[in-house]
Amino acid sequence: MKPEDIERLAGRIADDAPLGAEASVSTERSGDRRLLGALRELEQLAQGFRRAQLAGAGHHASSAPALFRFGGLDVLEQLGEGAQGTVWRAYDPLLDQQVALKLRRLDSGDLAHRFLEEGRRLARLRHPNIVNVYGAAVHEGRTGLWTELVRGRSLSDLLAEGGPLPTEDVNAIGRDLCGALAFVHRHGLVHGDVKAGNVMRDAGGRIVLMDFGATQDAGDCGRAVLSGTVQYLAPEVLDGGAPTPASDIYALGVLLYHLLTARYPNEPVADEAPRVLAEHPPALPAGVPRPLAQAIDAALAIDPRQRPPSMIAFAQALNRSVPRARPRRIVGVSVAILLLAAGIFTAVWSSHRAAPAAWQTELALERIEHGASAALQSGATVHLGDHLQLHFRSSEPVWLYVLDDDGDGSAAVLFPTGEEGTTDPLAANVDYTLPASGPHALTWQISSAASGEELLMLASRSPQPELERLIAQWRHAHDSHAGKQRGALVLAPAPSEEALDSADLGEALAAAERSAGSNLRRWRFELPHAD
Amino acid sequence: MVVQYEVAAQEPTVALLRRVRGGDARAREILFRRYLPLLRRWAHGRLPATARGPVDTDDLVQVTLVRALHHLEDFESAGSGSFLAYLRQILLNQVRDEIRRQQRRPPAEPLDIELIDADAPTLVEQMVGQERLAAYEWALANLPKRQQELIVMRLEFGLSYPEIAAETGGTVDAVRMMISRALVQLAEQLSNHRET
Repeated sequence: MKPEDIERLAGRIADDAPLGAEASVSTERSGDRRLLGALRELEQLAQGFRRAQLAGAGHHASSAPALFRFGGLDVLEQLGEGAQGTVWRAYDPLLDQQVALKLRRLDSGDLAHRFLEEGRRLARLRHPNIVNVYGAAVHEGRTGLWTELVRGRSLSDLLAEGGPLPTEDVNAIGRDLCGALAFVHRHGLVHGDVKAGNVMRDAGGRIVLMDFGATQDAGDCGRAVLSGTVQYLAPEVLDGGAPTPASDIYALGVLLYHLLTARYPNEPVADEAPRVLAEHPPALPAGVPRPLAQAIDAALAIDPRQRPPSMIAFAQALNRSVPRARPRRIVGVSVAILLLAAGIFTAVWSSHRAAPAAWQTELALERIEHGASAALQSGATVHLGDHLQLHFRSSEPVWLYVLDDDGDGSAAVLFPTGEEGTTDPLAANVDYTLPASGPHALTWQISSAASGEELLMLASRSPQPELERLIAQWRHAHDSHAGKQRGALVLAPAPSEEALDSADLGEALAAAERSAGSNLRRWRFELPHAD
Repeated sequence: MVVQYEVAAQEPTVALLRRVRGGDARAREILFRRYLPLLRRWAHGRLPATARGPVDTDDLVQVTLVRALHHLEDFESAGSGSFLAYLRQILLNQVRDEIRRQQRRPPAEPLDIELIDADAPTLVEQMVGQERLAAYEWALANLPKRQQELIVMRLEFGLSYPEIAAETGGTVDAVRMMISRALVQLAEQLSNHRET
């Protein structure tokens, strides 16, 4: 890269603007890769300082006169008013922070009840792209819910002021929201009102999903209340159906379409009641990269079964349109994994579409940071020292295998680990957090400074003896600092060096595929290291 | 991305400092009002939660500012750079002293033990990450003083370009360019840090 390009990227950090896809372009020179990695690190740093300034800004707000008090909060200023209540800026002396306080009158009956429910639901969700809830209370005839005060603009404001957003911004927003919504769905909830007005970009560039007032439990079919914003409602919801994760996927598709074009894929005709679309929406403009257009197009399918099967799948589709540097690979085994996985991912995708009611699996990879977890999509950058966890659920008992190749010749079996409670087969309809959850939670920690990680997960409805035999020869992940590192499971080499035989592994994977067929599912995450 | 510049209406710090040296009480007041909220916010982010009650932080910041304005010759003998960066350095030392003092506090009062945890992460550590912050401090220390000051003003204090221009005496465009270049140098140092 030319020095002026590097300086321009540094200028974006100085301006508080996101680096965007330009900072993840593929580059041959290792010096450039190193510097781009450091710039991305610097972007994170600048955003962290910004968040600290914003959080600290509330510190002396208590000296401003409070308009009134609600619970323990000093209410300082009205920020907005809607049909359902008012929103205020307030100071929470306990948290020593400014907060956003939503107030509703108790006489709004069921509405107030649902409002407190929103607080309870949100309290279960801690995710960097979801607004943090701090408290909810009933006080002097009003219900109040207070959350972090997100200082920034809503996506609808950004759109109104600057017109359609650049494709790389839309893609990044889409991936962040996929992560947030995957998290919502994993908690058995449906957002129900994903729209430009409910997503903020804060001053540090963080995308935050707001307003969980329309959120419902995923299985809550008895209460198909028509809520949400008409342009974003999936056809099956307009038709009277209950919101589902698939209708959130549709709404996110509408949002991304809207951000790219400032139009809606299904503009309602004036004075006409909401209608169920019979046709597919008009195509996106020619300037939109094909993979991005295809991903959005799939999310907007009329038939929910034709949409991506999960938010993770949607994110993976969006990821395909991001140019990125590939991790360097040395051993042949990773090439074998890559080729097989690429072919089989397509097969999994199609089988999901063809028989959605059959064997259901959900898998999400997360990075644990400052006590919160953030979804990781394939292509996301990881750092030395990062802690990873995997969430997995299957509608049928399965044998799960998780393999890692760091591209520098050190491969490992991450699961099964042999730890108590984390052995195959995994039971049906149980939410697993791997490598281990509960009071002795474990994570996988990235312990080598290689160029990247390649994680391959295989779920099989029957044991795979040949694979197990090979896996037994692999290095296993060891708990090298038991009791010292607060549950960090460091990937360390086994005492004896076992040679990896890529041909054997490739053959075993192919044999498993042949014998297991639709009984086998695979996922692949390619995670380049930050430098 | 459009960068919006605010109109720079601030009197340059160097002019105010000159007036303070001449005994101008009004200039002193302007400087106080300019720096006190910035330094409070900064110190608030750098002290562990248990040590940053409003009163404690205010004391620390006010004392720092009063002392610095009383001993302007120290600032000038340190080589005239950004006054804000100079104040930040004094405050950083004070914050570190304060944290050390709390860690040394004898466990005589059981109530205090529960209340004070000097190892608790500071707001900045929570938001930036402890390892990332340590790498940043290391990389920053390896830059020329002028670049350190620009980065501190922009990233840590969140000053706008016009505010930094008033602080350093440059033009807004020149300030933006110098900060971009300083950030490239900082990125170079960060990648060196990762290799060590």
